[in-house]
Amino acid sequence: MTNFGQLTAQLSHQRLRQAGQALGLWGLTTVVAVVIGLLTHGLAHTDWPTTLILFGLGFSLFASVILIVWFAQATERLWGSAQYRLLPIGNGRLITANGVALTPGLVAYWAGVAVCITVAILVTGTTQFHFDTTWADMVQLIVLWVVLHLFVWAFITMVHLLINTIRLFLPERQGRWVTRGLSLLVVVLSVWAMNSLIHLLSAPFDGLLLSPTLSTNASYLIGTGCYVLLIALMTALNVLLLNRFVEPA
Amino acid sequence: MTSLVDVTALTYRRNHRTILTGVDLHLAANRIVGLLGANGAGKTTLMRLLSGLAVNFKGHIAIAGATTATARKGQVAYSNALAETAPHQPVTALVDFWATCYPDFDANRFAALAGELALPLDQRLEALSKGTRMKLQVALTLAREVAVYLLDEPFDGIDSMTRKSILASIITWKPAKATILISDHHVTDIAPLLDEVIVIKDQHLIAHEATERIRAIHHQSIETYYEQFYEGGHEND
Amino acid sequence: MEFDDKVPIYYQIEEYIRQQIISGQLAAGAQVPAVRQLALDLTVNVNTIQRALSHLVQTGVLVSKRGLGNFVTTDAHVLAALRTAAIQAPLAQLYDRLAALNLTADEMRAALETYIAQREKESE
Repeated sequence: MTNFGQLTAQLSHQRLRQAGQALGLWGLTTVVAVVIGLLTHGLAHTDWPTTLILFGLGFSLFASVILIVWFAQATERLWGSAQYRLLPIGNGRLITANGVALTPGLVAYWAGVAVCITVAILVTGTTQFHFDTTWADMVQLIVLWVVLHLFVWAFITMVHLLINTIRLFLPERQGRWVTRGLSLLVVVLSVWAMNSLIHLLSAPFDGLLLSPTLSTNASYLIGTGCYVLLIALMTALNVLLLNRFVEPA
Repeated sequence: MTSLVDVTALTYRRNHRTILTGVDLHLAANRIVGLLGANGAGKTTLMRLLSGLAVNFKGHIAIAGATTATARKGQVAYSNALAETAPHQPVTALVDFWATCYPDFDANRFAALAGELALPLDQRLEALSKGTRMKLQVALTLAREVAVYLLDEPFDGIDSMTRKSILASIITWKPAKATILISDHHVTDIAPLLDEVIVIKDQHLIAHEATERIRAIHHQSIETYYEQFYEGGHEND
Repeated sequence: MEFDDKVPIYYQIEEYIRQQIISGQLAAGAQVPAVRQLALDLTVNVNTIQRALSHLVQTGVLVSKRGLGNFVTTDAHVLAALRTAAIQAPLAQLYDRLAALNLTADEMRAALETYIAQREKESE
């Protein structure tokens, strides 16, 4: 059997490399944008630290989206290629290994962004940005952010696998528009299902979440817990689909 | 006596099409078996089913006693593993992946095979010619020490020098107790290597015969034997 | 080596080894190459080589020594019989074909003598 730890390490290296590439992309686009701004929009030279940091923050979101797309492509290769599906390891462990491997990639990217921004602030002595949050809040924020990323990843995977499974039961030549219509239908239904589930799960806590008796810590935990539960449910469905229906190329 | 490969009443449908139906196949250990059939007859499908890639089937498949897809993957090495692999990777990264993820992968075997097949290890996958890519797949497959090897048309579009290298590697590296299933269009390439042949036609497994029997009793070449299934009729005595 | 795909390969391998022994390429008592090496040299299945060698051991043409491999027999009788049997086949064919052309025994002998003399002259 394939060693779970070693497989996770292999995948983690891949995700870290992608995170590094995303950071590089982020740095490049930020610097280029600032340079263009300085040259063409007549920014005063004294303004460039603020511009740099603002652009940096903005582009970090843009690059993070690109990173998520790369991660989604890599995940698709995981269940869509014989290279991974021939490994003597259960589909559940395969998918879990990928999920575990995503985390260092995500953390590395955002840590990289945070470090660069912080360094930029310190080095340039810009005083306009204050961090009022405590370390505990930062950790909570990061955990929530990672959970949301994993939620999106699990959701994208689920939609893909559902579409693939349904297509197996249709005649081979379905036509482009049938495929697109089907994909759209699956996406809409999945979003609706997720939305309903989120409301369902948080309904018992609705009153509590806004009540002053419950600390923000507790409401944060409940909220994150709901998402973690949904990730687990979607992952279970993904594993089921992989075990029973979806084959690699 | 249970065979190494045990397939009973195997039926596989996909997209409303039946690809294989009622397949019964029992292969002993230490055999080289030819899998013959026209394009699209189901040879690759059978290999995907044996290797655990294809899952939604009816019937029973067991390899060395293993029945679940995951367990069978540990007993089977399938050559068609690089179809959707990221092409910009260097070959060494792929070898590293195989070495890390397959406990039965033997680095020394691979090094010897890479030498025999003259593999350019420092190139990227996308830079390899079709023949070199096939040699790489064969090397990665044979470097694993497993019970069953599945080689899917390893000579397709390959020049004769490369074919000779691959044949030599198969002979050299086949473990004594292992069974190899090779699918091919050009029977004559591999006929002297085969212990048995299997023919797939019209979604069925229509023949399973020992090659020396075909020669000794029917006085036919394997190619003639195979072609008779595609002709109008064959007079039976 | 090209094999006739209509005749059992193990039989052709046996023939091949017998030829090598008769012609002296495989001397009496010499070691036969290892099974896997023969398989590689002839591009044949190891099982087929095994079958051919086993049959040769059975018929006494080869001797199997545990742990060492297979060796050509040193038994003079076996080697002589091998040689005789090998000569018989082409002789029988020659006789049958000349007889089918209605040559008498004397005509056959004369034709053979003439032919041998001619070939010897050519090779000088």
